Amino acid sequence: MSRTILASLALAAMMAAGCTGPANAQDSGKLNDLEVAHAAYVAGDIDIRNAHLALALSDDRAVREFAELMIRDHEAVNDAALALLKKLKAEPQDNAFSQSLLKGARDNWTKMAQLSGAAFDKSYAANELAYHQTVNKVVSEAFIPNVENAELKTLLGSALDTFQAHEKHAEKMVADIGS
Amino acid sequence: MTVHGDAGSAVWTRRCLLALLSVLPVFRSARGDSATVEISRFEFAPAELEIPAGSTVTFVNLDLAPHTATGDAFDTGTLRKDESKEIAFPIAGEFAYLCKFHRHMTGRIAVL
Repeated sequence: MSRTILASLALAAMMAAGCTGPANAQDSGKLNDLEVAHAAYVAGDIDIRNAHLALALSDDRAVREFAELMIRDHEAVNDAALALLKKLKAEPQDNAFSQSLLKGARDNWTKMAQLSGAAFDKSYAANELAYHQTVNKVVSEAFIPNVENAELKTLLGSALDTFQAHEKHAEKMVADIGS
Repeated sequence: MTVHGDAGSAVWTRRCLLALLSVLPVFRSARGDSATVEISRFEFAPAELEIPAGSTVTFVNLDLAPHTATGDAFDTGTLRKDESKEIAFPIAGEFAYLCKFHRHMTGRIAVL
């Protein structure tokens, strides 16, 4: 994976998370294993928080079921990530990519919180589909090929199975709700 | 204790029978009256299963995500990674099931 492609994926991920600012130099650099672990955890945590926003604002059954699924599954993946880091006696490393993801998400939450009813539901569904499409691309094409630790690579592979299932579920949610 | 004669022989025979009965369930399992369904990569494997009545099926989740195997007649409850649940199928019938969290995951057990 070239640094250029990784940079493109990183930028795409930030755009999917709602980040409107330009990528800085560190965003485009190759992440080390501990930075990947941090970014993957943050990406999961963002989707958990997206889900809590949906549970607070939506009455739509499909949206609420999807949100509950996101909380359950992403918490399981993040718990596994924390357990692996504990086993390896390693600390995840914050980095510009994680920070950009988080900034984009915060901007997105501000916008989403202004919506209600069908407008919120459609926005949430579309955002979840775009988010999972992009995250899956980053995980499969940038994170997994580049990480060096075998256990982290395996964990990311299992996490990708989960996120790909979410992407298919989000496709159905968008089709059912409309975008 | 020492036993002699017919009475001793009867005791010995009864003990042998009891010992045999005590290990029969193990032999029955070894013959295939128990089965395992693995939950991996968001699929039940095998998704289609035929078993004799009286068998048990153990569902084991190998995914990071929690799953269930839930049908009209049984429910494993939530299975987290590496957790398993044994379900008995005492009577014949067709038992369709799914993961109630990920409803595209489906399976079927035919109890003969």
